Amino acid sequence: MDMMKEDIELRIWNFVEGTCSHDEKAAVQQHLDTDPEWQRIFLEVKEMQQLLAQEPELPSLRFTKNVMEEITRQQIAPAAQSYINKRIIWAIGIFLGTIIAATLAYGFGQMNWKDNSAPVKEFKPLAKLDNIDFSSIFSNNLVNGFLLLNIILGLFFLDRFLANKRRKHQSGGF
Amino acid sequence: MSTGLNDNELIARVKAGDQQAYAVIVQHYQGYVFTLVLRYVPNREDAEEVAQDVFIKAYRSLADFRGEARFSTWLYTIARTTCLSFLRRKQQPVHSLDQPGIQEAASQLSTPGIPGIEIKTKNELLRRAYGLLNTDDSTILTLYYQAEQSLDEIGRILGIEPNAAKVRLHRARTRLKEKMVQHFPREIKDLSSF
Repeated sequence: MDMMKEDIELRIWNFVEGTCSHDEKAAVQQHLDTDPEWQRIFLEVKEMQQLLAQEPELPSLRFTKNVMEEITRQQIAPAAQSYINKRIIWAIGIFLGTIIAATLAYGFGQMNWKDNSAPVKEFKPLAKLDNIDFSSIFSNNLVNGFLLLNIILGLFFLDRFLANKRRKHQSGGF
Repeated sequence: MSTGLNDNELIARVKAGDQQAYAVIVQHYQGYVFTLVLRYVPNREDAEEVAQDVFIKAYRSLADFRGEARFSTWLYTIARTTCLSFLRRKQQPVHSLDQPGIQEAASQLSTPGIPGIEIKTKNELLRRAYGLLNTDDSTILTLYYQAEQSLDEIGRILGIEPNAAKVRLHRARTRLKEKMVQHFPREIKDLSSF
């Protein structure tokens, strides 16, 4: 099909199905009033549209009965919203965000920002792992407190998760 | 079996425990869902099984339907995912239009139906012509013309933008017409002056 005819056909389809703008509708109508080629394509489109709008096919007569028999053995599951607790998702997000922020803050704290002695082309990392004194990290009360808080939070979420699972199992839901 | 209630009212009844209200929904949508499933699963027995599965899944998930979209749109989305799962289980490839050379390959494989069986109705002609299209094309045409979904709703079901749905729909129509002219010229003449 040449481009010209394809373009006309598309415009006529949009006209017939009312998916074009008011201005476009008027323009197509004008062509249809005057141009025999447009009128011929219009008739083709209308016939095709009628053909496409056939009734849907039907399944066997027992279809509804079969579905309803199966439905009697089923029950409506609780809405996903009811068992996906947004507060838990937020808490997990905050928990992970805090760990990342704390790690970054500590890393940046260990950097020597004023070290300009290295030549420009020579790569010299600002922070060396062997320069970090890990023993001082874990003897620090603040870090220990932070780790303890994380462990408590972790146990809390684990408990919530297992409790939810047990509740769902007891109610026979899916 | 008509109750005069709309979909949302029927669904509210079902949610409240009236299972029989669901029979009205099944009765109303069985043809649409079955036709849509046939585009993915051409074997009628398998299609009927899949269509039943669609209604059972929809029933189980009814609490998740919040009425933001039309019930039919929600139901056809379930129908599509159920068909894709079925085909995945059966290991039948679903060919997308985006794959290079797929249309040429489909044309070579296509046969104009069973020789000797006459096409007497437009419905039969359309069914046979749909069989020559790829799944993407026949699905979008079915959703628009038989299941009466808007371009926005089709976009929602297929996970594409409404404009993309519009373009795909037009391409599908063009290809359907080409297939009909190519494979059923005599039948087209008999049924209507094309």
